[in-house]
Amino acid sequence: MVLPHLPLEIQILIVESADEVSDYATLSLVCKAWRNAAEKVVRKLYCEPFVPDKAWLEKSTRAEPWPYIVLDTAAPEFLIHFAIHEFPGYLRGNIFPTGWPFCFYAAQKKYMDPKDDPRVLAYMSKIRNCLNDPVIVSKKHFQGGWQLNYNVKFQIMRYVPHAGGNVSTKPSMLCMKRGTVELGETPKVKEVLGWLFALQYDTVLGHPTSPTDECVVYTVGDPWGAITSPEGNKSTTMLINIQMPKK
Amino acid sequence: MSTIKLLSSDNAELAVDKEVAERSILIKNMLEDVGGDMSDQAIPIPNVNEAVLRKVIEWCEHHKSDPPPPADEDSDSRKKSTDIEEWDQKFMQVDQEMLFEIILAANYLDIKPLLDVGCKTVANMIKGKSPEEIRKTFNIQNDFTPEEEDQIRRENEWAEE
Repeated sequence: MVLPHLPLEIQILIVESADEVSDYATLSLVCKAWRNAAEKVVRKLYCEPFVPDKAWLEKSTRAEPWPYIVLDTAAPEFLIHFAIHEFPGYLRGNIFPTGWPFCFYAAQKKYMDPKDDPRVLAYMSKIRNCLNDPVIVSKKHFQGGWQLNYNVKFQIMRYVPHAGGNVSTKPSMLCMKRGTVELGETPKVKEVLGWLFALQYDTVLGHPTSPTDECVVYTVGDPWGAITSPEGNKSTTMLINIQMPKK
Repeated sequence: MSTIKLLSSDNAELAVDKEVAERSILIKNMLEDVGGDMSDQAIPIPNVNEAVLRKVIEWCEHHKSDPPPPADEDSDSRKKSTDIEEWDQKFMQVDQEMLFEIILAANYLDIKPLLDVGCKTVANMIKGKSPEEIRKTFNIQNDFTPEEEDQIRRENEWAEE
């Protein structure tokens, strides 16, 4: 039987209908056109990290200065996964059956508040297919082998005015050394979120009943270089703060 | 309710409610162009044969009351291939040739929701297939060199766990 030939535009629609990154990995091996289509779809999951400049910091309502170097000379060379960028501040539902640290709701916390926040539920639904995605990718191409110019530490800091300033998670063990980045070695969304959740303090990632001027800051960079870079130190490590705005 | 006639590529004349036929943007625009009056003349659908046209009309009849699809979908979210309603899943249980013909007809007739369902069905169908099997299904030529293929496999290792 000779099947009718589907024009490329329809083939692209079919590629766009796949719903797991592992599907895209297979689809990208079919031919060059499919590869481009698959890459475009996956790229839509990533966005520019927010890098606060001096003006932003001056406008900030924070009582203390930000304890980071402001990156105002160059934008970061990577894109960040929307699951991190849009992290709403807390998680709900047991979406990871694989155990600690990927099971958000193991024995750690159970947010069983009946007032489910539709925004958080929508977020949880949205990230289900993204758990194995690399948390950052190169801006230029969706491949490994690109150069990361900063040490990266995945940590959430939350500014809590009534607590006198920053409250942060413990430093995450999920760090990336600056240098050549291979996709297979890049932390995955589920790992970062799993660590963030597992390492939380009560005041961090808790139910968002906090004051409205509280903001969540995702920190990329390790000022002391202790974990990410043996040769790193405060003067050689660039820091980027990615704000996760509360909507 | 007014009825219009559609003429398939194999010269079968099918009567269909105007409201149903207007699920096709192509037909809707044609009717608007002639002032809506095509009662005595069949609209030729040269790219679609009778069997496929009947299937498309069946789909349009079932979905005639659906709201129009949004003009621009949320580009940030992945289209979920599993999100196919039950009736559509059964409707799409046809052989592969017919499935492809329905997709082509939906594309030609500009029936976006039907095109989406068809594409999602095919996406589900090729889940778990190897790239070589997919190429055979779609009659696609592998334009990668072995080196390029190796390189992509290495890049994709992160997604294959």
